[in-house]
Amino acid sequence: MTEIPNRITVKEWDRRFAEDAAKLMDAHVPYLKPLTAYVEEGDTRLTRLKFDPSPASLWLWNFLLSENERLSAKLEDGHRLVGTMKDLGTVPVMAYSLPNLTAFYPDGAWWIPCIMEANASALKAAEELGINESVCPVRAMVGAIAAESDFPVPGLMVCAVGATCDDFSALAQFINGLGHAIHWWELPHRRAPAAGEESVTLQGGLSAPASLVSFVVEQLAEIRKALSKYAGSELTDEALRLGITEANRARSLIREIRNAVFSSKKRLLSAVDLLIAEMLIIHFCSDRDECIRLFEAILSEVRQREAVEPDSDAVRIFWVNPPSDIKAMNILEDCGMRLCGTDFMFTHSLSAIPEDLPPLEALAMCVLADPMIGPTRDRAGMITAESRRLGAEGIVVSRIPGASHCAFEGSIIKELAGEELDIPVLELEIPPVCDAYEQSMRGRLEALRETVIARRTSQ
Amino acid sequence: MNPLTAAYSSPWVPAPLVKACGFTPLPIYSPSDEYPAANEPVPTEGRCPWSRAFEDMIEQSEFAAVIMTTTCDQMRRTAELLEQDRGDIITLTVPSTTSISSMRLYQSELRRLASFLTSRSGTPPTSGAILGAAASIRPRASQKAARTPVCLLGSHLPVPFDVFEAILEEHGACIAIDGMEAGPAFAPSLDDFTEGASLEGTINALGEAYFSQIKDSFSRPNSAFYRWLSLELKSAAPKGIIIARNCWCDKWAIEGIRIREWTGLPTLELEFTSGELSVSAISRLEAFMETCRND
Repeated sequence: MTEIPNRITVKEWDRRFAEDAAKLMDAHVPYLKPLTAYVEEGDTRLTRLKFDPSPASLWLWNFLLSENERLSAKLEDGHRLVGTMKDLGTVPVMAYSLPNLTAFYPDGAWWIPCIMEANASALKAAEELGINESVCPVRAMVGAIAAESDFPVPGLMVCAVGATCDDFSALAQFINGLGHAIHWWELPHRRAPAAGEESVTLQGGLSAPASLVSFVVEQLAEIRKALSKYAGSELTDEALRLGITEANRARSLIREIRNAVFSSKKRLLSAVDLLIAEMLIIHFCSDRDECIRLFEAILSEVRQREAVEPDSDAVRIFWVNPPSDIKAMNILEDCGMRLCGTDFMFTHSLSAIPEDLPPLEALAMCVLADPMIGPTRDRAGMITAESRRLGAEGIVVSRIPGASHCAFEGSIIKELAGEELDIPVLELEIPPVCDAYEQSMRGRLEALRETVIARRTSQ
Repeated sequence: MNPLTAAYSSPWVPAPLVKACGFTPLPIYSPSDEYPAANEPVPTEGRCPWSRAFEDMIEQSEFAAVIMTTTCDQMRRTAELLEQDRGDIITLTVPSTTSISSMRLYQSELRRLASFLTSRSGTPPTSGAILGAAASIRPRASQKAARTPVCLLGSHLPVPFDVFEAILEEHGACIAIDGMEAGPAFAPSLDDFTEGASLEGTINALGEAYFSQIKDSFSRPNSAFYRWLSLELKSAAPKGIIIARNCWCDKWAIEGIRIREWTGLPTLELEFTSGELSVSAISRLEAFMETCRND
């Protein structure tokens, strides 16, 4: 299999750190350091990854890995931390509309077992509380909060429940049982409007009953009250509008990055870097302005490469669900494939928030476009439509160990993709550290690639 | 038998409303001789055996209506599968949270249910019919036999409740606290339920009775469930707790950890991986009862 030539390891990156850091001088990134520093702090998975070689990518990884330091620093500066849980993208837009609030997703702890491998104390702490490996890797969140080990425990937690994963809801209740107050809000099941029922069109061509939008507006109004009380100042419509405008700047940039990468005939950004960049959008990695600057740098890099990179014949893959082990993205490329589309479960947070509607109504419409709260067929329909638009030659559905939605979605996506696109669909279960399964994963991905190549030849 | 039978498997479906719409309410909480799971459910990765069994039952039977609920991920997804090819299914949104606006959402869902059942050849409900139906419904009674008292919690069983109860009896246990979904904790008292000023008002009142009284461990927060459990534990003084749950039921799996910690009582988690009570489950039960008796 052809090795992708221009991805680099942590060691290689360390060697050229001074050179890359100099290129970022104008960007003023004070927290920039060689990635080895993070490895020494326990993020050992980095040594097994290959990264995009650009200075923008160095900035990206530093921004990601320094988040906990940033949260602690913000706390010291008088900021108040909000733990937003499960809605993946909407409540942070509200929180960042108040100047002294910083929101982040404790849910992000689900990657701790991957990034820190055996050093993940959060996982051990969860196990000591009785929560073992039969539960989705997001159980690391419970350990991290109980042991106060991986991020500062936020003073306010806002958790969406309802049409969300049961394991997450149960773990959040477990955290509540440990004495942490949680503001619960309802994320309702998105049902199809009945005949004659007033309905609204959401992002992605989805629709929902208008009554559900009103219901979510009420839920968000309660969150607004909780945030205002916590911040000590009212979250006005005007502040929300400004917050939405800024969030839309970030969303617009990540959409441009995705569009450039997915629609190009060239390989413009490594898959693991794209995955991380996409993930930033849900809470801006705890610094919205910095996130926007970083996206601008990545977009600039991608545009420059469009002009100079040769065309790539890598097989074009649409990837569904975030992989529990980010190394899977490297393996995909090692097997001669590249991303041409993704649904990492938060496509609703990539779309523009309407700016011509009352702010809570606009946000409610984003909430209801969440691909995970409606029928899997809706999500499969969006994946199929995007795969067609982007010219995907195959779909990989990445299964998360212990996540119940995974038992249903693979077959539905396979059926729809088979009916409408006639492209192969591969389901892969990816554990948080996939080393033991790597050969089998490679074998299955290579088989997928060969199937696609054979089809290309026959067509 | 009334040809209009509405099958469901959640206590959040109010039987009085179903009955008032001209349907025979048929709550199903386990496979039975009458309603067997058509195919022997096999453990499917990520799929709870109960949701698999219920899907089979619905596909093999000819109910006039099937009422699914969103109370857990597994049944919500199963409802999607069933809805794909059938028009006789409604999925009722049951909120997890306990706010007034969530209650209003639940009440509006009950009104939607009434319209759906009416459209499926049912009768438009009246306040009087709902009231009459409410008066005829009585919750399952707990045992008070002279055996070792246990508290039973959980959702759906792989065998009918009376069969399971008999197995417990054989091993010297009696169910002193019935916290199963088909049991009294999930059956609101309708003694004070009165007719509203309009049909909508009556349905809302019924919804309020259910929403405010059901002690569901899956509510967020679930403090009402723990208040209920605390009172029951004080009054019935069980020797141990049995949590009956299906494989892949994340909610009960995680809640079980908390219940064990919180009560300090011997706790047995009986996990069902298929549509039958396994030999290993029975021998674990035997050992557990021995512990309870000696405690």
